[in-house]
This record gives sequence, C-alpha cells and structure tokens, in this order.
Amino acid sequence: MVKKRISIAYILSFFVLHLLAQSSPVVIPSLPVIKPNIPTTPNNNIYNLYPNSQTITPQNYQQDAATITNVQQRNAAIQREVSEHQQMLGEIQRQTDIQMLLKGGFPSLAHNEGTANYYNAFDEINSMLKGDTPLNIGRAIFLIENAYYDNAIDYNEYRSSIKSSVDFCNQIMEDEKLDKNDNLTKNMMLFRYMSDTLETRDKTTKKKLFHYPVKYNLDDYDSHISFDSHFVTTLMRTGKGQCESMPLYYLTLAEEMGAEAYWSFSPRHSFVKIQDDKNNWYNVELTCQGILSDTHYMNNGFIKAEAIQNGLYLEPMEKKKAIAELLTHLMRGYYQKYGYDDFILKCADIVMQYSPNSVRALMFKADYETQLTLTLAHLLQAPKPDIMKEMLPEAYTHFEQMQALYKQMDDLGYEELPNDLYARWLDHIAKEKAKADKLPSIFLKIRKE
Amino acid sequence: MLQRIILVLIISLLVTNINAQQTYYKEAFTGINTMLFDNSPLDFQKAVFLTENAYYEGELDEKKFKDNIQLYTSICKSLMTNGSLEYTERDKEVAMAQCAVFLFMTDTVRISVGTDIVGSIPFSYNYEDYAGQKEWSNMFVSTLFDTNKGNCHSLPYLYKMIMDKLGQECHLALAPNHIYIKAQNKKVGWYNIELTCSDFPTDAWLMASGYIHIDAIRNKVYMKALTDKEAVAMTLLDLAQGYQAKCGIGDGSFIIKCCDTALEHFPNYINAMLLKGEILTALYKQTPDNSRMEEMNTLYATIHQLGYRKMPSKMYQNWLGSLSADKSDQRMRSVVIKR
Repeated sequence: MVKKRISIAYILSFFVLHLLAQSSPVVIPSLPVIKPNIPTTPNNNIYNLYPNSQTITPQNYQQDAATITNVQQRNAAIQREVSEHQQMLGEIQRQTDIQMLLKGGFPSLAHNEGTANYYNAFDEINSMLKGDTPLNIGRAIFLIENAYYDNAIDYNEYRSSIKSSVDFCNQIMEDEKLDKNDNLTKNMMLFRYMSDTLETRDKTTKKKLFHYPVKYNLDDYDSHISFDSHFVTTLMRTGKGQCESMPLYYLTLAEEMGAEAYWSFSPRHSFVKIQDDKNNWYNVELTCQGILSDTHYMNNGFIKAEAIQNGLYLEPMEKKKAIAELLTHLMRGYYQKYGYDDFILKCADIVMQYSPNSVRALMFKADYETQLTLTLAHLLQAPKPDIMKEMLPEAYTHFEQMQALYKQMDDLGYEELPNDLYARWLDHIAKEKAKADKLPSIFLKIRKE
Repeated sequence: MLQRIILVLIISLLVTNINAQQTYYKEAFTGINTMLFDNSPLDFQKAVFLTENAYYEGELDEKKFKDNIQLYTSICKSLMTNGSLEYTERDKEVAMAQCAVFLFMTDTVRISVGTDIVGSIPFSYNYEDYAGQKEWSNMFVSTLFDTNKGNCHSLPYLYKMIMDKLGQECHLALAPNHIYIKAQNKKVGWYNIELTCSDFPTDAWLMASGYIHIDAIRNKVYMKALTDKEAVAMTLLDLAQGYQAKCGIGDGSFIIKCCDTALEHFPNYINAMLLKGEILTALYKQTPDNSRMEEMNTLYATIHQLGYRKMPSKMYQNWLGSLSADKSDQRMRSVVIKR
C-alpha cells in the first residue's frame, strides 16, 4: 500500500514537474554543492613509519670483471652496513612507538589541516551541553557537517533554507485553517511535508509553490559511496535522505516550528517519536513514510529486552541527550577524515556524560582500543594475547580494556544484527531499487502518444 | 448436651487444624524472610521446598526432594562431558550446562544404570491444570517429580535448581502469567529458554505475542533476568498463593505480609502487587473503608503505570501454542543437536 503510494508520488512528481515546467515551480532553496578537503593519506597508519628497506642495485658499471667484483664486494659491504643501520633505526623507532602508544595512545592529529574546525565545533556543542549556550539541534548539525566541509557552508544560507521550509508549512496550515498552536497538528504537518507532495501559493506573488516528498537514498543509504550521504545538508541539497538525515532534518524543522519531537534509536537505525495530548507515543518512520508501532521495531530490528531496559532503543531522547548523541556524528567525520587520536576519546566521554548508555560512543571507544591493541601486537610481534601478556603486561592491559568495553556493550543488551536479518534488509533495498529503476519514464510515454 | 459437646469438639478441632496450617505457613515465611534479610545465604531450592512443605503441612520428604535434584544434576553433569554437546567458545562450562539441563528436561537421555542403559522420560506439560486452578499443588516442583508433568512454574524452577546445583548462573524471568528462563553465553548473548514447549523464543516474539507493553519492559516488570534475591522473593508469593488455596484469605494479613515483604526485595514484582490488590479489593467488599479504597486506587494506578495490562485468558491459552520455528532463536538449536 505504502509502496504503491510512493510509486504514484514518484510518477506524479515527474508528471507535475513536466506539465508545470513553464510555471517555474519554486522549490525550497537548496544548498550549493560542496567538496570537502580530505587529506589523501589519513595519518593513522603506524605501519607507514616503516618504509621498506631499500636495496642498492648499481647497474651502470660496464668495466672489467676485476673492477666489477671489487665494486660488487664494496657494494655488498655498504649494503650490509646500511641495512644493519636501518634495522637498528627501525628497532629504535619500534621501541619509541611502543612507549609512545602505551603512554598516550595514538599520536595527536591536530597538525592536519582542518582539524581545528572539528575542535571548534566540539567546543560550541559542548558549551550547549554545559548550559552556557541554548541547546540548538539545527546549529549542532550545521557545525558537524560544516566541519567536514572545512567551513565551506554558509550558515545564513542553511538557516534561510530551514526557515523557508517552515514558512511553507505554516502557509499550508493557514490555507487549511489548521490550529498552528497544536503540537500534534504541527507534527503531522511536518510528516506530510516530508512524505507528501504539497502545493500552496506565495502570499505576495501568488505564484504556485510546490514541495515534493524527501526520497529515500536507495543507492547510498549507508554512506559507502560518499561519506556525506547521511548529512542533513545533503538531504537539503538533493531531496534524498536516509535513516539518520531524515529524522534529523525533521527535528531541525520541528525545532524551528516550535513542535515537540524526539530522536530515537533502533539497531542500525533512527527515527522520530512524537506524543499526542493524551501522552500516547507514536513512531514517525520517515524512510517508509509511515507511523509504526514499538512492536514493529522490536520484531524487525532484533531488539533485546535488556536493550530497552537500558534505554538503548525506542527511547524518546531529551534534547540534551540527542545533541550529545550528535557528537558521535562529529566523531565519525573526524575519524573518516583523519583517524583516531584522543579527540575521539574526549568526545566519547562527553557523549557518555549526558547519555551514559550510549552504544554509539562505546563502539568508538571499543574500536579505538581494538586498533591500539592490534597496533601494539603488530609492533611487539605478538600473535596471541597470552604472548603479549608475557612480553609486555602494560600492552596487555589495552587488550583487557578492549574486552571490558565489548562486555559492557553486551551487558547493555547490544547485539550486532544477525547476518541473515541484515541480508534480508539489503535484499529488500535491492528490490526497492530495482522497482524504482523500472518505473517507466513519463517522458517516453508522452512521446509515443 | 452431648451434641453440643461434639459440636464444640469439632469446631475446636477445626480451629486447631487451621492453627496448625498457619503455623507451617508462618514457619515457612520466617525461613524465607531470614534468607532475604541476609541472615542466611540465599538458597532458592530451600525456599521452594519450604513453600511446598507448608502446603503439605510438613509432610513433604526433604531428603527425597534433595535426592531427586541431586540425581538430575548428576545426569546433567554426565551429559556435559559425554560429547553430546558441541560448543567452541571460551565460556564452555556455563553454555554446556545450559544446554545439558535443557536437553535433560525436554528430551530422552540415555543413562547407564549398572549394566543396563535406560532412557529418561522428558518432562511434559500439564495441559489439564496448567494454572493450578483445580489443585494448587500442580504448580509444585515436588509434583513434577512425582508425575513428570509440570507447567511454567515448576519447570523453570527445576531448571534453576539444577543450574544452581551445577554452580552455574541462571535467571528466572517473568512474562504475563508466565515464568521462563533467561541465560547468557558468548555465542548468542542473552537468550530465552522456554521449557513448556522446549524452545528458545526471541524477545520480539515474547513482546509481540505475550501481550507485553513496552513500559513494562522498560520498568523491568517483565523480561528482566531476575537476581537470586528476586527469585527467592518470588517464592514468598507462591507461599501466599498456597495459603490462599488452602485456608482462604482469612483476615488478609498473612497474604499482605507476604506481598509486602516480596515487594521490599523485588519492588516492581507485579504479581505481588496484583495479589495484594486482589486481597485489598476482597477486604473492601467485606467492610468498605475509605483509606483501604485509597490504598487500592494508588496500587492499581502504579500497576497500570508500570505497564501492566490484563491479558484476556483465552489469549494466554493460544499464546504458548503459537511458538513456531521461525519465531525462535535458531542459534541455540545448533548447540543442542544430539550427535
């Protein structure tokens, strides 16, 4: 039923677009395309510190045999000396690296271009969390995405895009004589805004205004093609989103409109929770344009009772908690661009200060420890934890910390989606995509007739 | 005159009989209560024995009770070592124990007795009186020993007792009108054991079909791995219900005392709240009294807030039968395959 509606909306969107091409539909202003500046070699790879030992192979000697032997012998001696020297250097380097990693974890990446943007974004979000500045989801999202784009987005442009979207919604509510002060009405308006085609007239110019539903990004819902596919600004630019950007966009609009809405998680997924005046909760699922029951998420998302008891999933998050959780997006961007250093740990600690059972933050911490343990194991050439324990007990503590973090996650009720379940989901996406691709082009049809 | 004497005799006999019953119940209460107040170590098996023994007025054979559990435990121990189970993760001991007890309780196990090899008979579900409505003792573990038939009360209780004897962690868990087992191992994390239909239902199935409101899960009313203390607190309610079945509610004080003590150690124990509510209602009907009314109202409001919703009785009957293979956690199955 829903799918049918989507496909109809899809066809319609083309149709309307075509027919009204002349009347120049005013779509909400979109943001310009921005290319982030990503350093080509994220410098987290400690292995890079060991260049392959170079062998000297002289080839241009065309002299007599005696000279050649002589030269060869001399070269061999030099070669030996060089490689011995290199080995020694390598050994010194190895020992220093081990000591450095044990002492302070992965080295700071602050010297990289653009990291300051991340640190500034963190400071501003942190001051919101501390209560020094008002909590603002829209601003937090902007800061996070802007840091990834090296401060290339204009905040005013971003703001005016959100404002005009909300104006559009208000206009519709006026047209339909809906109560603009009712929380549920405002939320339902936003739901329609994101999932339906809406039409109104500009107050002054009397021009027709359209808004089309936000589409699900079937090609890159998990940011495997382009990292910014899960960004809210990407959704604003392209009209396509996924299960992070759609709820966050909704929350940004709700914030601007003054509607109460809450972010909520389920495994590998997020959505919006709203409440009616009788305090009943509803789950707004924007990716498939429906209102779903808690049981639906329990059944399809493989959620354990412990996870609910510990507030991991299906819990409406207060604004402060939501903004703290948003910091994990900042961490993700930082890791993507630069790699691991103590900034990630600092962020994780702040997240957990406001969202103590944050699995997203824990996952970063656990992954940090895992990579540190593996790097140490590589440097020590210890193939097994027990061997590492014998060689260097201090290094082994990182292995123990890693295990403790994974145990903490297990105890909270977190569980990786079973592979078959995830495969089923991927299969579903593939089918949806095939369906969307197969939709007959409206233009061809018209030409035939 | 003679008739009058006989009447007085009969009445006094009756009274002493009821008094005797009440003594057994009081003794059992004291036994469990001391356990809960840390004066003696928590012993679930002992607590269960006390509740059943009180119902039988001290006639239950404690040695036989203990011997049975000892025998089952040794059968499970041999199952763990004879190679019927395969499990490769590090926490072998606990996972093997979980599987062995499950296997023993739900399937025929070959046991060598002297030179003979005999097969154990798995426990079955008592369909005739699964809620102990005809005879309260059908809820008992001792009845399970005698008849080989149990329900969602006696079967998980026995499972826990055997696991306790094996020295392995094991938790009871609640669902509406239901008790099951929650266990944890490295291979599958937390999972559920359902002995009434010998399966491993998922949390999602329990929630969707078992009439569980999400608030009830959030508030740890249902689907929580209960601690040993909470499990012992649960036996207090068994004691109260046994008392009710045997002596009626009386002045309500004993049952309410049981409920209150259970709630002290297991604050969100919904069944204790429900029983207390029931008793308060009955007492209110006898003598209407405003303060009791108020107490009732706050209690029922709390019950609702915690997420409890009354399950239609027909639904429960259909419920257990509805668990099919695709709704259960298949990963544990692969461990329990007999070779």
